[in-house]
Amino acid sequence: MVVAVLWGWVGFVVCFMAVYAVRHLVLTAGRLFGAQRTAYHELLDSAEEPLTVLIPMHNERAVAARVLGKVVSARADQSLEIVPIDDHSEDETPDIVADYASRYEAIRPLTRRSGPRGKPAGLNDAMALSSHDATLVFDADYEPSGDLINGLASAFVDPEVGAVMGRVVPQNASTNLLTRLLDLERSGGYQVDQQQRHTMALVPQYGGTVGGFRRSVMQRFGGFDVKVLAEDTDATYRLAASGWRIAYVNWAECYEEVPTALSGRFKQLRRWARGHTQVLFKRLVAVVRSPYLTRKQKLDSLLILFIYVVPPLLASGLVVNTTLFMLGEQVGLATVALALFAIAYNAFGNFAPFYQIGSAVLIDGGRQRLMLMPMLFGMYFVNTCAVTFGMFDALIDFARGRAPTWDKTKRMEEASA
Amino acid sequence: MRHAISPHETAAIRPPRATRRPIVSRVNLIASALAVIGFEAVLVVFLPRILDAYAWTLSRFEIGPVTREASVRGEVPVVGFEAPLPSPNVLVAIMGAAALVAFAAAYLTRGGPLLKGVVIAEATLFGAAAAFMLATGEPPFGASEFGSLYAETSVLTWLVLPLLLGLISLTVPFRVWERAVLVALIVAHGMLLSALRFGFFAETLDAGSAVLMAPLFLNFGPLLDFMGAVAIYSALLVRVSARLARGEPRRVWSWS
Repeated sequence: MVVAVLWGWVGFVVCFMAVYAVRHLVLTAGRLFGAQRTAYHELLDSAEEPLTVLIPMHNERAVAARVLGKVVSARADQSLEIVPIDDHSEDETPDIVADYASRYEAIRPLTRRSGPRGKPAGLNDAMALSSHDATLVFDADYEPSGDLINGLASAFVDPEVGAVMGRVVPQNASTNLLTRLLDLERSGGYQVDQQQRHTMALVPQYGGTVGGFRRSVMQRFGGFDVKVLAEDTDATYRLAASGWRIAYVNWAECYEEVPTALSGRFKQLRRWARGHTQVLFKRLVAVVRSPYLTRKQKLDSLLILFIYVVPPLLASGLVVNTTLFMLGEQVGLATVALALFAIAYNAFGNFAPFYQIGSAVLIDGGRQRLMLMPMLFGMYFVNTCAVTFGMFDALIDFARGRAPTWDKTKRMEEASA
Repeated sequence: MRHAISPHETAAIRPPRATRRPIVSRVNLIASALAVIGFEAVLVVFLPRILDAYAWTLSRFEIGPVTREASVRGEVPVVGFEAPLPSPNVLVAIMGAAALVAFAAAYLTRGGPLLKGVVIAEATLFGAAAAFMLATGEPPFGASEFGSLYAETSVLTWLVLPLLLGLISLTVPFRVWERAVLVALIVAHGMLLSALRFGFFAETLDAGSAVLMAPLFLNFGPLLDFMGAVAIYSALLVRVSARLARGEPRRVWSWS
């Protein structure tokens, strides 16, 4: 009886993983063979949408001047408003922001010294002050060009679009092996997954930075949920379940720093898993019941919502398979299947299997870095542990009604200072 | 008629990576699919001969007698070796050492998450294997049963991997011969690795004990085959990428 139950569990894990394998194969084949939907850049010559750019900042002296300088040069007219959100900074960030505000009329800083710290709370306060409906958000370590800002904003010409997302590209990919592997993951996630979700009219992810939303819609929803760590994922499914479309602009590339140490990556992944699982609990029913989402959109959204369940589930399959081995069962077939999934699904940041990453890097024009693909498996233990811990964090949050605390990502400039 | 941009210039225009995709011709797709399926059919048809060659290779290692065990995948060759069951005291010692190593890795080392994860997982595996044997009083498999399981799993991997990788590779503009090389290399790598590994397993279990069965099979079994296959796939993909970079853009890329 026990052995039968164990075999049943292994069978369930293999089937569950196979569903994801098919999903990723469909997306990859679609990206490589199908005509691509091209977002809204054909409309760039039309009148530019009035736009607010929000830049959350907490102790960003190393990067504040750079991002403000970049954004302020995007447009010369009055249609651009920039709101740097100084969120309880204790370094020279307020001085840098004040200096720019004195020189540029478009900059209207928001200083927060009371209330809860964190990105969602800052965005909610800034929305109350901003003037325009179309709102973009950039983290302080990003370097958005004018073309990128205007390209993202052009998506709001479509009245059905509630949020828009651009492509995030690591700028420090050549730092070490970890950053190179993360660069591969990002390629697979954006070049194939996000782009194909956009092409197939599924639900691309609004990622909280290098993207934007309609202020009026978010305010009608009561703003971002300050109790959720993945406020961007929460906003994505809140908008989608309410009938708003999420647009993805693949050519709108913006550069970010990825973690350079495994410990930083571990924390980042644990935080993502925790936030994503919170959204799973919160939005599952709304997505399933939404009258606006098609069956295809619901199925893909459910697979995305459950995606952080994959690592602990696969790990449980491996543990059960080991138990069956100890019991003297013929585990050859199960071991082959589980080994395949363990090797294929090692890039848990965005869950791109090797064939998706390979295709994405090929499209991107990458060459030698393709040779690193087998090394992605080295991340398996780290990813599985981080995601599993993150899920347990979310379960405890759910059971105790605990609110998460915000943890600022350390910038490379800070680390080297 | 005067063109705003000459045909020579348009030929050099490189499409933006946001919307481009490599051109894969229908003829290439059909020929490649047939090549992959044909290769798989040959593999299935000639499996008994392949197993003969595999048995011959194993016999060259001179580890022990090579016998044939009936299985669902034919009569698989099995190397004869011993895998002694350690005494209860040794098993308890292994469990204690594994617990100590796992504890040390979790709380005492300053190693990164990768090192900690690997050490804890391996220590747990060794400890669990010893605990199972202590509880049941016997190893999970006899030496010949283990050999049979290993050989069967190897054969399954040879059959599954080339077909899987071959079909997955259809999404990428490999040339037909490159795809044939991909499939052939994966099979050759799998067979060679399997034979060498069988020798290594037999020697290690012979010299060590049955406690090593689970760590050997689960760490160095199909996982290694898949990693090798992905490495071969990646290496050939570099060729495709170089070709796309060299080729005239309008002949290698389509875009919308």
